[in-house]
Amino acid sequence: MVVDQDGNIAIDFVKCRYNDWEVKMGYLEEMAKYHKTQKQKQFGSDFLKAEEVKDYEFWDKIEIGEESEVPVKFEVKAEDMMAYAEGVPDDNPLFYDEAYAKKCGHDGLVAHPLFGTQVAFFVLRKGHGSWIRTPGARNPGQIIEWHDPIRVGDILTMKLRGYDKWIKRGKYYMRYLREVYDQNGKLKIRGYGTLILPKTKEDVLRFVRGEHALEA
Amino acid sequence: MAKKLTFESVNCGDVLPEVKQHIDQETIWKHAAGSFDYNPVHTNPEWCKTAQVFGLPVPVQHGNQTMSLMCKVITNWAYPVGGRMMRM
Repeated sequence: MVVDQDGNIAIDFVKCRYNDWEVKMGYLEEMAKYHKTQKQKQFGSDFLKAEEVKDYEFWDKIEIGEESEVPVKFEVKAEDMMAYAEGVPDDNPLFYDEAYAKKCGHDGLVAHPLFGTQVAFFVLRKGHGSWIRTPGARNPGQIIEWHDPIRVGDILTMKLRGYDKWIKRGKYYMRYLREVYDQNGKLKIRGYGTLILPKTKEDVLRFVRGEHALEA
Repeated sequence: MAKKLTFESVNCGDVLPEVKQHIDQETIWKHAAGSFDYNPVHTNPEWCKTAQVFGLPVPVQHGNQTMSLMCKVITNWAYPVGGRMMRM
């Protein structure tokens, strides 16, 4: 891998596939065994892929107060909701059986309370908000508010705002506000997420190489 | 369906049934597939040996998978009687 003076990354993937870790471990292939839904089959599971890393937003570039609406939408299918519950894993029939859910007083198949995680990672792939994908990111806490149930057929949009960032005991923190709306503009979820991130692109690149880089 | 929960039927000090979950790398991989959180700190054991994001040479479980255990306590208890979580 080569990083020029402007911070641009060039990696020859044929020659150095992360020192062939992927090939040695086959971990991507292991995870692919669990891909059942249309979205799982199309989603890239390699967060170390250089062409994606170069599009991440890094801690030192985050602007507090900057807002964005994520261009990727999430059309909710029953298989998505069930795949999340299965991955948790939680076998509560409310998450798999629409008739049972209705019998229990819900108006349809119930989305697991943390289903918004799948939505977030699906839509946040680069630029503003890609912090959650950063190799080396840690999640020391979050607050989630549920305003309205997510339903099969919803088309979800996410809005983001960088809320705060600070340095404490040599670690680089940031907090953001995340809101999920449906196709009618109804607020479904509001969340305040906190992350500890590598500070710069160079630190992230050290992580990509497999070096420890959080206290850079 | 169980009896509907009401404000009056819930008391401070009520203890809800515990939940347990065995965690291994396969469980974490399944969670990664379900959540699309494929961060190598959870999924790539070889990378974790050197990156040591948490000071440990092994992958760690997703924070949301831990949080899901707290959710499960509530969803097992309240969701079958029409309840919903509002904030966590």
